[in-house]
Amino acid sequence: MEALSVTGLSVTYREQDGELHALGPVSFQVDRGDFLCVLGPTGCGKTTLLRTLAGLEVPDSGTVTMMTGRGGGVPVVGYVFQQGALFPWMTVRSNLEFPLRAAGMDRDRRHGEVARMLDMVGLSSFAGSYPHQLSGGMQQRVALARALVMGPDLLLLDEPFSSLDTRTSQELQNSLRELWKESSTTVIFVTHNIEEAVYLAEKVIVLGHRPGTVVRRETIHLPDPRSRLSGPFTDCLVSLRRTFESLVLGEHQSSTKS
Amino acid sequence: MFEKLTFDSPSMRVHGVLVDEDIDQVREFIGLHRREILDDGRLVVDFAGSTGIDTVTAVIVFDFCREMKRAGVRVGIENAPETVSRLFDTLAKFESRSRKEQRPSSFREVFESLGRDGYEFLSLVVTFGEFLFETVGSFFQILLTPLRIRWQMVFYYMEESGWKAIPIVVTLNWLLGVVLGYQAGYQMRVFGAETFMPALLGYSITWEIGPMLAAVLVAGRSGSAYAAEIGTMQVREEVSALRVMGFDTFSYLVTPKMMALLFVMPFLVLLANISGLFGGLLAGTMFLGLPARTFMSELGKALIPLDILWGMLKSVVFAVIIATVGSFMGMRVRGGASAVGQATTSAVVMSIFMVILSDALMSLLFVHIRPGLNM
Repeated sequence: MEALSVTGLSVTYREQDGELHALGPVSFQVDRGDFLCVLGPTGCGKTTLLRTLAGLEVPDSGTVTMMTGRGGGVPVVGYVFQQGALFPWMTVRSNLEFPLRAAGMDRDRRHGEVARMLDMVGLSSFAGSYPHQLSGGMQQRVALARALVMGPDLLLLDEPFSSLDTRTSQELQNSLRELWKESSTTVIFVTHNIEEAVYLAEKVIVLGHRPGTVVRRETIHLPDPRSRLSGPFTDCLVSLRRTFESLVLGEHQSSTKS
Repeated sequence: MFEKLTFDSPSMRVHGVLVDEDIDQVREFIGLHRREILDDGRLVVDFAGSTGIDTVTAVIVFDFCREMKRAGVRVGIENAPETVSRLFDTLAKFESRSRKEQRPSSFREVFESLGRDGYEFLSLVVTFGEFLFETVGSFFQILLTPLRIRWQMVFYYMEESGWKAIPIVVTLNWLLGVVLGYQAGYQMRVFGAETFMPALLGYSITWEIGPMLAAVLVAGRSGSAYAAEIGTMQVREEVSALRVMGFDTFSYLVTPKMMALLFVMPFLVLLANISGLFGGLLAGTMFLGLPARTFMSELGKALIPLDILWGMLKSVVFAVIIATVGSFMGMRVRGGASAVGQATTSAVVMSIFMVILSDALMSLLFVHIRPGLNM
């Protein structure tokens, strides 16, 4: 069943020195419980796409249709930002409690949920710390926990691990994949890192240069648990890298030449 | 003897590949035949014997052809390989573009840029109008559910923007009161009219200087702080995070600031008035020999409660302006840290401008509201 359907979505920013066609038109569907990676070069409108899905940008044309939420109403959307966007004046616990309190959850359930979530991301002992006291990787864990604490129907992640070192980033990828497998959440993950996409996703769409449009759709057929050193993984990685380079980088070279 | 170019009027033939090492010789060759070509009125650059030309020599040949064209020579290029013709096309395109950029601004362009600036200004006014509308709307909406107001933040901003502003507001108004009292009295004494100084001082301070100076100081202290605070949150995507979680950013970020200013501004104005008048009293007794008793009784005769009240009422409008403009400029921030700085500056400039503009309008109104002066 479709969780999300995007048709002819196109976004233009109006800036002081004219218009910037940032994205589209883009069309794709995501099934319920699927893990989709949106792969594209820098500046192709990946973030714009995600922000539009979250309702943070207004498209000039196209439609986004979403499933109804698990409660039968509006779907709950979780969003993990590139730099975490944790509230610096709140402790880790308050950061996690914040959306729950806004949703009107009572105190005891709130505390229970937050404790469960902190345990899941392995940060129980840092509940009383402030974001600036944590390392970058821990901050992104908190950001992930904050997005998951509401039990989102749709989880959007905007290159959340791109500013972390490789090891931390891989650890977080493992956690994310595990968390996703345990839940029924639909995930859309934006990245420019091909390996990340192959490791995480079930489906990949590749966006071309600005204004980004879908140049390729791929399905990743890899068994679980995924290993970055296995033969099938490497094959898949190489094939996607080839596709990416010929479609996206090739396109770029020909466009700069002419 | 340079072998890569030969000239046989009107044809200049290129042989082999011209590269940047040939520049001097190409120049020399061209110079040698310039006269001849000009006299002849025709030039054909023939690439039949050539396979290519590099960018630098292409520019030289292209420039020469252009110069000849301007001098009235008919110029043709023949047998150019594709790479060469493409280079020449690019050069021609580049030239026409750069000429367009360098052209001295014509009448039409002046109007164009005026129109563009005007349009930008108008769209700024329209978006600010929408923002103001939303802010005031969500303010009244939240008044219906007072429990949802973030009182903690309201008190925080009251302390930051009100309590902490008292020293500077009082000091500056007191100083201005002294100066104004002394200057006015000094002039009036020439006519023996220094007893009217308290009235003049009373009117100017309670009507204009007190409310206005307080507003300008609050705009400088707090309007900029609001813009910087929201702007930084915008850059760090915290505003987006709030919106994704379903928060109304107006009632969360803007309303507490506006409410705090609405509470504190009237009192700041009252303090500004009192300290300004006290400064005038000091000037009167110290420099003009005007007894304090006389000063007070003259002041009492001149002022009515509406004078004080009006200044406090005006400050309510100023509070709305300062809080909304500061927040508006913060919300408009896109990009990085430098945008926050710009937003802070524009917040101060625009709120002071709007404070003075609205003050002028309200002063016009006040003339009609207030009963005649009691002299």
